Amino acid sequence: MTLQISIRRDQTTIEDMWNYYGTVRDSIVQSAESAKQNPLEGAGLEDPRLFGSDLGDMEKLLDEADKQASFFIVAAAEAGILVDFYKRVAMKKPKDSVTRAFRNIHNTRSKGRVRLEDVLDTWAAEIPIAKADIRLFKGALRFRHWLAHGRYWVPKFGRAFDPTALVGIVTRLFDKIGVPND
Amino acid sequence: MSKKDGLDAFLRSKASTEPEIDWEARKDRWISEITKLYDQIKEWLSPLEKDEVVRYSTLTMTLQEDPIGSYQVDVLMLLVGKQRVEFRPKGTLIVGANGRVDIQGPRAMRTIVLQDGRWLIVERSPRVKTRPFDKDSLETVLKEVMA
Repeated sequence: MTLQISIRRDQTTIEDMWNYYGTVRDSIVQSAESAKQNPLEGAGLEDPRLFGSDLGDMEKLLDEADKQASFFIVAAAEAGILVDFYKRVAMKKPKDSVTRAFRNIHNTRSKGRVRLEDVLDTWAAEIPIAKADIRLFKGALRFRHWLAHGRYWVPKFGRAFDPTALVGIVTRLFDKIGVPND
Repeated sequence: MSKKDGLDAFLRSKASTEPEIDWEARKDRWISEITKLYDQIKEWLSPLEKDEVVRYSTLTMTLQEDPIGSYQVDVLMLLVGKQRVEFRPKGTLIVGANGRVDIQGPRAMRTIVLQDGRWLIVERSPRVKTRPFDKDSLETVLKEVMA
């Protein structure tokens, strides 16, 4: 079957985002630690951009790093789910019911991009043990939507999202529906 | 060397080399530096205080810095006519410095940091630069922060 889009080969993975987040977070934490460790005389200029920052400033930086990493982790997860979708659609002779359902979705949306919601609903219908994880992931998508649109409203997610929680949600979901995690 | 020996040696080296920091002493010295700063500012402005151009007031605020804990410091308020400029300590656990005081006026805020026992004004335009905080730079800062 001919796909409606060309899939890039070098997808950004959740692991890529997790590693990036670790690098940023470690850098901020190390600067904060340097503020604690400096003796009262002879403090060094660790990073000119952070010079003069207090621990409250560092907390804000960590919070921002959390939000940005969360955004990209959910985005990478969406890419993983949709790349799996298109790979299944491109199969020559699909035998499993999920892939057949995906082909139907693909064929009915010949002029537009496939909706992630439709793909997730298919997974929920076909793999009942993944329903709870899909519900959590949909919550993560609402969190990403809030981040993507400038956070100008007070959100009501019912739970806190951060990179660690999101990687847990995505990893469990991918394990259950059999989507590669790398 | 076995893995256990490696772990043992690593943790023992960390235990023996991590310096003990006397947080209580650091806090006391920080508070002492704040007091000296306020005394210096008052000395620079003493002729104006005698002429009742400037007045001072202080209020106490609580800072919370792990691992020091919470402690109280004075905020120096410089009163000129109807305007107020606050010298507001931010903490001693500061990246690249030993303490920070924000100078907040009605129009702007400037930052001074304590480094090697000297107070420095921090400028970010666009790279970070510092210059000594003295009577002349106090004048510049007050012109910048007051309306």
